Amino acid sequence: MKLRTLVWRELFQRKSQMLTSFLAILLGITTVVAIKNITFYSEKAVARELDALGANVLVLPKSATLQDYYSADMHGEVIPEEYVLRLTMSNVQGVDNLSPKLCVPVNLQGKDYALTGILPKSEFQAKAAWAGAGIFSRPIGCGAIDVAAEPRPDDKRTLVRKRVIETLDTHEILVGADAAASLGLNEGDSLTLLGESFSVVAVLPQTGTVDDSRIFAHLHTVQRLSGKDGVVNCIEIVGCCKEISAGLVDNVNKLLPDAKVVTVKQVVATQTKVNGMMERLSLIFLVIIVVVGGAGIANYMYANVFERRREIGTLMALGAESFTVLRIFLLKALLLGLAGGVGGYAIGTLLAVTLGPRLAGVPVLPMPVLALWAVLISAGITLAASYFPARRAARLDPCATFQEV
Amino acid sequence: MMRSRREPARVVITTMALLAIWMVVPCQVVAQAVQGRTTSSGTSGGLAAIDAAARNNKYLFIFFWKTNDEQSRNMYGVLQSAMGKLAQSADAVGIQVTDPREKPVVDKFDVSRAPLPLVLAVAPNGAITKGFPVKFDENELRQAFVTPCTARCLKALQDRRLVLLCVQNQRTQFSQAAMSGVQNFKADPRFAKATEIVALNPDDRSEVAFLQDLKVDPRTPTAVTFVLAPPGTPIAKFAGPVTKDQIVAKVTAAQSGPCAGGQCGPNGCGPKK
Repeated sequence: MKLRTLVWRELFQRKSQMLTSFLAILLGITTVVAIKNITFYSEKAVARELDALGANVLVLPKSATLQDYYSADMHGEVIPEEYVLRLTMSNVQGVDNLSPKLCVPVNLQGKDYALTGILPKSEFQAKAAWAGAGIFSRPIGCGAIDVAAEPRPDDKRTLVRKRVIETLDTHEILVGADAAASLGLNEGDSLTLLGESFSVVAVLPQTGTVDDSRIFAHLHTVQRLSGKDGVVNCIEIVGCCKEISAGLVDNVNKLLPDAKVVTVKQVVATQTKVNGMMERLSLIFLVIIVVVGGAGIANYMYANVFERRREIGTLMALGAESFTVLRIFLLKALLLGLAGGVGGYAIGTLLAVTLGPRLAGVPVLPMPVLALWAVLISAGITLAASYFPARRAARLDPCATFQEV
Repeated sequence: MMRSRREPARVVITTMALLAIWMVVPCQVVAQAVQGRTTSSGTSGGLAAIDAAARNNKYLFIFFWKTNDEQSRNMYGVLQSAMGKLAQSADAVGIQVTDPREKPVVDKFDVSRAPLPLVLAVAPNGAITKGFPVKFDENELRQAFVTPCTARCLKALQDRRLVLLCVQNQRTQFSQAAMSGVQNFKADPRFAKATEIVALNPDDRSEVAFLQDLKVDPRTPTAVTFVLAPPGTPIAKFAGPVTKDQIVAKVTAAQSGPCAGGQCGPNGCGPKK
């Protein structure tokens, strides 16, 4: 009888116990893979979002959380749009650019998208000059300029990087890359949103952030169509570095006491905290796999060896060496580990890809490197847990086992 | 007997009527005062007031309001009180933003979504020298009066023009070289239409406040040239001679960056990962 056949037959001895041990390993690996996968893409999305954000200060409703901001501001909490002009006209130094946003959900072709109202710069920037003569004492090199000279074509795709665009008509929209792909939209197409027709003026480049599934329209149009006149969900501020450290946030807080003003550094800190928590969670699961899965496998193996000591003795009496017996049990453990690792990776990845966008609000893709880790961890645990039972089997004395029986 | 029975009722009715008059009349007076000229004629009182102030070389404080609430009444009171002391140099007009007759003024300043009440100070040359949203006091209102040169710069910037402010006179060194560079820039067809040269004599005592804002010593020995970009951002300062190319380089850099000078936003002080 070949070693392969022996191992295969050995595997299906005591099926229920084998299945329980296998499930423990499988579920553990599934959980770790799913958490690791979502955390990785969440961190990546945050890094990319921050890199592309440009904005480094956020003005949010008092009750809104930073997570709300990252999940496309679908929280329903609002602040008055007039805050934009209060900021624009204020003496607060260091505000380079502003971008107010209002998000409302829209359902298109059975899928949900975030219709995001944005205010083109042309509609509020001029009012910065109403701050009076004090603007001339502002530091050189801080503040976006608006020179009428040499008009250049307004590339609306820069929205994803600069956070603001110069102009946007009331019935023009910009579509995120994912939304455009799933809706089959191209520049020049038209789309009906909340009962009105809009023309697509730009399909935005892929960012890997929640912006990819957004549809951007003029703020005042979104306000009118959603019945939320004069309000926004958040105001993104591009602040100048020196002024941020010189108290820009405090000054904005004083100007808008009824809003929550946070810097992106705080956002990063919060996000890092969440990611750290996820990391710890996955570590806890790993420990649970090692303890529960390992103990289960060890118990299963010991029981197996004990129950089958006569067969083992017979095998050895027929000439099988100790090493062969050891190999049978270790190969059995390896098979269990490989199956648990591969299965856990597959199910974990599937869960991450399907649930990730809903739980973390970021697109999640499979990570092949996790397959290697999953198999290594799973096989490592099963081999380690099976080693002592296997060694015990290999050291059995055939004569003694026959006497026992 | 009959008269004496009716007496208390008369007293009560009279008292209540007096109380009602006491409560309603001041509100009406304030409301009418806030409404100002807008209710007195069928056309826009705001536009007429703007024209009149410009003709009389006076500042105009335009008080925009929406509802006759406590904040509006209080702030109008502050404005009226200030106007009592500034009548020589300024007029005031109240504009209710929902009044259809005042739509031209509301549209002109685009204040339909502005925080209200709002006071805009308009210089005789049409420049808005300061906006006062929601809450302000007399001292703040006084800050709206700016020097003639400041008003010229603000007007040009509000017309989306680049301002080349030349602080120089016959006493300052490199005046000619600086002015020559500025004029060469203005002669460039790319910038000609949207550039305005404003000369500022550092010895002009009426411009001391502006020089302070610019952080320029009135006794400066050399000519100083500022490049101010709309909506009101200083993008360059040159002490001494300046060439067209230097100005073009600064303007181009300011236009191309994610923010002026590239100090903020992406690759600036945003978080590094």
